Amino acid sequence: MSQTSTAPLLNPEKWIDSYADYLYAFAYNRVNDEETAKDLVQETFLSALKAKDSFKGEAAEKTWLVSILKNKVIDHYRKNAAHPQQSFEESEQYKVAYSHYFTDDGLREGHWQKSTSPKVWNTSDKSNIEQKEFKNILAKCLAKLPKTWSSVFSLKYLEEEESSTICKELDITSSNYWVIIHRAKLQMRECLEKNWVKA
Amino acid sequence: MSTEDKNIAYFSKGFSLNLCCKQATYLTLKKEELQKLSFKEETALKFHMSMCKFCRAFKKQSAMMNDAIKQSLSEMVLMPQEDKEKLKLLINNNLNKS
Repeated sequence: MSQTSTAPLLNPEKWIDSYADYLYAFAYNRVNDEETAKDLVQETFLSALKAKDSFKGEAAEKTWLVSILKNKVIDHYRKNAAHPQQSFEESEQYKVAYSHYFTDDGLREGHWQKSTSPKVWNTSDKSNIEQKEFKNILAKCLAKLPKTWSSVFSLKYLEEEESSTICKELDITSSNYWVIIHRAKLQMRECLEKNWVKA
Repeated sequence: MSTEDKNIAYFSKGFSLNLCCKQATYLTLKKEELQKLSFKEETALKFHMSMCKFCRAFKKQSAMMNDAIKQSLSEMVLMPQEDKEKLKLLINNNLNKS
């Protein structure tokens, strides 16, 4: 029996009222799925309860909970990237070839294809970007990427994750990482241009 | 970070000061994240950007996408009340057990 079973710095009775919304928003904004977000938050609280005796108070309660959640989100992306139930062909079919964007013939090799070159975006109303609409389209575009790509892409934006961390998490080489970022960004840009910004 | 990037040479005709758009967009994204490139890459990229309006547009749009994504990550969303109640029960049960 431990003498200090409830560290004075933690207040589990108050966790839901104080942090549930914040943690839920953090998860939801990153996984774009309500059920997954709820599960991740629940797992976070359960892990936190299990680990509460080892909480040293080095970080604030909220920071500590967020760091647990963050690891759960990374796990989620990692599982997504591995995605064993998705066959290779299936994951390949969303992979838009480089030649869709850049020519591979003759003198103009590597230059933009006319049909997919960036158009000028009408950004005059950029300040009032409709967040809700953008989010939906962003999620739609992300879902069209091959699983590994969308995981890499999402991890990149999770608290400014370092690329070396991402490579380790998802077991890819750094040279592979840059090609994935490049291709994912090209595909995302094209998808957003078609669906969101009126070019 | 001045090790040669093999991808660049692989994309097209090796690395020369005269980049193609495939190489230039690739380097643009690398620079966006690392803040800096090798001197050779930096020089070649500057030269290409000064001549190519498409790659300039790409760079601008990429930055805009980053901003919009970051903004969307800090949006406030509330957890449904019933789910909060369920979690409260779960936590309390757990606390009573220990």
